[in-house]
Amino acid sequence: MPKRIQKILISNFRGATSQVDLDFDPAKNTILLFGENGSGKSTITDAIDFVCNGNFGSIKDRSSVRPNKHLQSLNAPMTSLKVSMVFDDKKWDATFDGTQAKIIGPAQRPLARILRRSSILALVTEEPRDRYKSLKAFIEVPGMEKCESALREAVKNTEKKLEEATRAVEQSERDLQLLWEAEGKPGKTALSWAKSETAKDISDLNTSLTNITATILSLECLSSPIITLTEAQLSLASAKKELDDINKKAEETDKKEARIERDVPLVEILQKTQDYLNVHPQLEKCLVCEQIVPASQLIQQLKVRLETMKEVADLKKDIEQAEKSIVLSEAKLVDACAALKEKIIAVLDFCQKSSISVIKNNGDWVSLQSEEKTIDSKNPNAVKKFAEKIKIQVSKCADTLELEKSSVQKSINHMNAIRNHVRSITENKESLTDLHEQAKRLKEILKVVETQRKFYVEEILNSISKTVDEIYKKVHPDEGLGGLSFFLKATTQGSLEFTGKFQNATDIPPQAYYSESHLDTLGISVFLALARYFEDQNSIVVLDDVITSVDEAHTTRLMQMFHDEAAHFNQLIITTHFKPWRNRYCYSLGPVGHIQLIELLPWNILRGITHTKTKICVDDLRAKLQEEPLQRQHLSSQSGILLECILDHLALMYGCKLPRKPEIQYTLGELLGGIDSKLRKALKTSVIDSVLKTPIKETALEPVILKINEITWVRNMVGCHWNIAGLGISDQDVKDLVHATLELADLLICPECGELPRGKKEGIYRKCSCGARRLLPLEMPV
Amino acid sequence: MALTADEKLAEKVTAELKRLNLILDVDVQTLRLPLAQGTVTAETWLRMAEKALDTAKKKEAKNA
Repeated sequence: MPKRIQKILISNFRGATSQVDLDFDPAKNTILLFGENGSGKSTITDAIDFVCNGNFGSIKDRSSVRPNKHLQSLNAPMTSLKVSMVFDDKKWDATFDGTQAKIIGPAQRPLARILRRSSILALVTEEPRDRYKSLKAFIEVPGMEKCESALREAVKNTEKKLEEATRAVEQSERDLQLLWEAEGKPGKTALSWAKSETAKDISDLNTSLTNITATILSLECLSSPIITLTEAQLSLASAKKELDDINKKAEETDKKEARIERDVPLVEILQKTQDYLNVHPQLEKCLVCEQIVPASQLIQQLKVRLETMKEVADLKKDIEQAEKSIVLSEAKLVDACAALKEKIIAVLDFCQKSSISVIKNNGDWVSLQSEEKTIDSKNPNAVKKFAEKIKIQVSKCADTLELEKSSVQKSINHMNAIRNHVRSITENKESLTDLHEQAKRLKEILKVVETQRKFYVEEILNSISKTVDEIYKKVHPDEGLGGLSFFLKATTQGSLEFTGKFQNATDIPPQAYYSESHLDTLGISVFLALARYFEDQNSIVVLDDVITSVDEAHTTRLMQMFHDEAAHFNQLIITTHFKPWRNRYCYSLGPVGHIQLIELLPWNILRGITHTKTKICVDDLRAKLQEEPLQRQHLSSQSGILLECILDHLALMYGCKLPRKPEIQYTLGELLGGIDSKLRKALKTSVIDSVLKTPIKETALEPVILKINEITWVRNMVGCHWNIAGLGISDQDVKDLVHATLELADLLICPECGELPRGKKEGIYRKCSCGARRLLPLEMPV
Repeated sequence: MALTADEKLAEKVTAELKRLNLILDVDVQTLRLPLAQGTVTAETWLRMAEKALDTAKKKEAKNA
């Protein structure tokens, strides 16, 4: 048995405000969930998507909807959300952590391939890129696409490097050309000239630059000691002035140097006495004169005297400090003078010995050396004056040396620039070759990857094109449409194009000419073809309300197409709000025996999603016949409706003659009259042995039709109108009508698929979907 | 175990690259898995191309 969903339990998931418990019949591969709008069809589909695929379902693409707020039912906590599923006797439980589905269960979850109305629209009417996205679940190769993007990036990076290297070579060649032209274009080409230039030795230039730099530094060495000497002189002058100022202050306050000298020891004695008395406050007489004076009084007197004498002591300290400062400054001046003298000797010696022509020619260094010997080393002003004289002499040489240095430096820079350009050209030209080869190879690899990916996807698309056409033509035969072909744009990643046929025109975009319902069918056909292509034992197919409204003829063909396609899948779950579809099953106008019909009841927040088994008219009639007391009116009415349905079906099949009316509505009597005696006599049914595939029994319909003809009046009298005579009709008459109706239904409706034989012509008879019920004749007898 | 779509395509791509001598010194079996998993980066592609060029150069030098 194919693997199928057997049970779905939904709690606090979207519209499921109360727990929804859905049991799917594993013996049937098609489940039709019928419900009016807002009854919970999409909630059930989304729940399947959630537990099978871990997706958020239809809310994923809706604006302003956030799964962490809106996936759970209104007012329900996120933690209470749960979807459970039993598939092939294995169970999975899915909960939600606010960001993603947490699914617990065996490793291999079933894959639900879900088609929603929004996807159909995306598939047929959106731009090629969005169309590709809508089919991505089928045709995507995410790993390879990621590698392809990385490869494309590698090609781009290599081309960028190639471009940079080319630019660098061009720039260096341009610069070299300018240098070459500035030199008067020596040699054959700029590069050959540059190469010969770079071969030249520039060590002489470097040595010359080093010597000139060293000489300039040597000549500059007088500046610093001159400044030091000047600073020492200023420092000494400042110290002397400070001493003078203190002395003047002492005189002004009438505190002569002599008195200061005298009072200082006394201050010290008094200070010590005060300290002693502070330690011995109990003394009552003076320690020197032994006069009776309390210690506290003596301490007070001492305090007054010491305050008066403090200024004297401070002045003394300042004078001592100023004198020390003078001594220190004098010593520094002597040192600075000696240091300057030393530098003078060094500079004169350097200049006298120097081989540099500028120095040689710019001073009589020997006579200056002689003059130096006459300078008093202890006379700072004399030393300084002589130093300034030499400095002036030296600075004349320094200016010339700076010019020479600049000239040499320029030559070196020039040579270096040539070398750099030559190196840049050589190196970049080498890497240009490599990069060029690399880019070429990467592009070739990219071409292979692109081609193979497109070939892979197109292989799928080609193989489904035929199936799409086949499915499509089941719904729209002989309408001059179809011839569908899918392909990828050669230069674009993730872009799906398709063309079709419209009357005489081929290769036209279907969305330009097809009607909305034709485009709907096209979308469904593409989806089913892909689902068929990728069908495996672990997948199921869900169609969520994909049919909006179609006419009678197309409804029959759509139903047939879905039944045919269901055979290719493990399980096909269809949700719909399209009532005619559901009603056709109720009246055996579809193979209801092969599908499970579930009817969703109107939703409200208290009871949430509720469902019931859809009643099949024949079964319902049979069940009601057993009820007591007998529901006379209901049974008569329902029998009449079922009879009208069967007779209308026969009239349509055989093209029976019926009275012409502005509206196509016929009474039971008219329909019965449409079956003339020739047809009545020819009508026979048979059941086929499922093993031998031969008719088991052939039964003529005439007896039962005649019986019905005789008793149809009961329907009008009891089931349709109020009248006194109707009240007198016996229950047995009503039962006879029901029995006759059921007899006809049982003879015509297939016991296997539950469908009336219909347009499926085969040889000499008509038959139902599964072929187990046959109906003769094939055409109206003449 | 059945191959995934990525694995199938990776197999075809590596076989074609090898046939055209576009990848050298790289084992196609080793390359197939990272290709299918999407872990071959731009840097890896560059290194593969460099290596192939290097090998081609060496071979050329040897023949000369």
